[in-house]
Amino acid sequence: MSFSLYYFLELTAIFIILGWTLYWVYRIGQLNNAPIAVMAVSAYLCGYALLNWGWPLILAFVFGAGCGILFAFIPALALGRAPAFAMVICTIALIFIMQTVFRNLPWFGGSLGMFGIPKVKKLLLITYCFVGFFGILIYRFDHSRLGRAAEMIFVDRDIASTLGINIYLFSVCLQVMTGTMGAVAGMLYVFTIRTIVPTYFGFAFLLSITTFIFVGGYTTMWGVVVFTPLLWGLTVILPESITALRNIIFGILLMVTLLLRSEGVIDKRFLRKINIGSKLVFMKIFSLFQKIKDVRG
Amino acid sequence: MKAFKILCVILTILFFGAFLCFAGSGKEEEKASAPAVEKEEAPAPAEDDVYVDEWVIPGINIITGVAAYHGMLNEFGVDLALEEINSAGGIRGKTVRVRWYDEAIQDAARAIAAMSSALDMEPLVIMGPCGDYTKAAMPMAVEEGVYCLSTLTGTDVCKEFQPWTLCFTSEFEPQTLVATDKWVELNPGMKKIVHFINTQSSVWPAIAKAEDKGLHKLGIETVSIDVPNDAVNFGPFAVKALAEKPDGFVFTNHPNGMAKIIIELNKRGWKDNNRMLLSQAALDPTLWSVGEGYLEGVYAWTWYNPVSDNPSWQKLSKRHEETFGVPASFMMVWKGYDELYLIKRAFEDLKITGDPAKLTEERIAIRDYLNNCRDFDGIFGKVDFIDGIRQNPTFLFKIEDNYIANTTILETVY
Repeated sequence: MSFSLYYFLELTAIFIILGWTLYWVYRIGQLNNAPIAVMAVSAYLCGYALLNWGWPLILAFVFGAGCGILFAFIPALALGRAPAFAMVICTIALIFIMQTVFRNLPWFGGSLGMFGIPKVKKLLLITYCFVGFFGILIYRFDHSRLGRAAEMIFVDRDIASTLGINIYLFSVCLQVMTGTMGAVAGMLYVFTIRTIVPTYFGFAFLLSITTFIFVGGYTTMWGVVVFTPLLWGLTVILPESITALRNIIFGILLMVTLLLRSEGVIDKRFLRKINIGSKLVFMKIFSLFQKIKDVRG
Repeated sequence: MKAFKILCVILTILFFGAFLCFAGSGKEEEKASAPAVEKEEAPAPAEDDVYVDEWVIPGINIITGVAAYHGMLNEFGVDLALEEINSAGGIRGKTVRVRWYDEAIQDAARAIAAMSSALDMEPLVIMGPCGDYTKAAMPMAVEEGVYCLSTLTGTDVCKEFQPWTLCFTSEFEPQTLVATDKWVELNPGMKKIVHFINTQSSVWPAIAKAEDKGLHKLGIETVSIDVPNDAVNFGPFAVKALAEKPDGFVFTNHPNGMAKIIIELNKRGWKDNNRMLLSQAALDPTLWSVGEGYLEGVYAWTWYNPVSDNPSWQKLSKRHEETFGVPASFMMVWKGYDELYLIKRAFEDLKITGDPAKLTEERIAIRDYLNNCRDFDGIFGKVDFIDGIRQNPTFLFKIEDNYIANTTILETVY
């Protein structure tokens, strides 16, 4: 496999996980950027355990994930009742706080960062296993009564409360779950890059992921899955002569999509149409086979 | 529904158009680097005959993002070197071309994408990466065993990837000590200095630390003020600095911020510009454009000489002036120029063939040669590379008429 393809697939998978972290909490109308900060915490602590304590990889991974979950849980307690806008601001602030903290802690290499993270064999396979695992988890959530409850919270919090849904608990649980996904994504990202610098987990990341989810569609989990490889791929495959126009192309795509389809390209109506369409295609194929069978018979 | 269909058509066209462009450029490169010996079946090739029709060197450069002008200036210098080298017969009789890849800036994922594309070319050597995210891209090159001329990455970072990287900036401490010593000698009586530092960068804090060490050694107290990359209003920095009642200022932050803080200090009554020292990498085009009219008398230290009378530099600087209206002063302008000439020298001295069968062997030979390349005829004159680090002199300049004065006050070879 070529380097470009390998890293394209690897980064796409990480972006998909991160896209889902945003998508999942947004199901209840909160835009939670904290997973980016959780990424930094897990990545740094896992890297530190590997490099300075010489821990085995699996142990360091579990340690990093555990710390990430704990870190996601503490602000979640305070942000559980926060309105959408307050949560956006608070969690962006959290990203900056984490960057500043790591930049000023000499044990973690300060602004220079940490080098020499060991290479992980079969990283691509591991990453896609995580994508599959988280994908199934979110799919099951979306198609359960929890998913319907989340939808109700998104539509109207008051009505959701009258239906007996504990919005606070729901929010905290989703934030911790997405924090877990962020922690895993952070460690996978560091195993891919094999260095850790505070600025890796910053605004550039957030902007990319937000674009993927809002262009792809934030009402279903499939928008991120389809549009992350497309949009990220577009930035990678552009020929050198138009590389400078990358941001313009990206911006136009974003504007056009949001203007024409405010819920993103792949929304629930789109999925329903595909579902009906695919059923029709199957029925036609089936009837065609029946006809052939009848003619032969 | 209609709008959605239109959108789908636009997206499809854009996507496939980009794919086709990409496929087109890939084919072109394949054709360009096809083995020369296959075309000319007789006579049989000698052991050190050049295998390729054209040398294609991947260059990882900052083409987009807030620092895109860095990449533009880098390409400017490279274009001149390519023009000179190709018109003089190329390298070992074959023309040279640079294939650029965008590492953007402050985006590790982009840096990785650029490096992976460059590595797919199975290159002998790579020009760049040059931004702060060299750290993200370099582990891949090291693992693959490809030598990178990530020349402007600080020594602290480069050391992590040696021997697979070449660094143009020397160790900060010895150079900085010489510069601060001389500046303090020219401005006696300073007891307290305010030091503006950009702590977000991985390079600036290391330089600032060395500068502080030099000042402390001379018994001068320093007070640090952090100037972030994204600062918009620079007045508060000036107010905070003046409240310390300092005797002078040292600036180790982004040139745009340097110029704006100097303006704010001047507006608030600071008159003695001689007591301002700009750190290396200050001589950026934004310094001159933003700070015009306020920089008179300010000192700046660097490790290269923008007023050098070396003919190569004069030629580049003149072309820069014709194109941009000011003589060249920023290091990105000449970085790529020297890199290409280094590659030329290595390829010619080592008789590099570009034969895929000898790829590993030739990559190692290039690495060993460039890491300890002596008497290289660079754009400013002869220079040595020892263990992958350029051995630089230190210069202290005074700014006059919105440019560095044509008098080198100091030239201490490190």
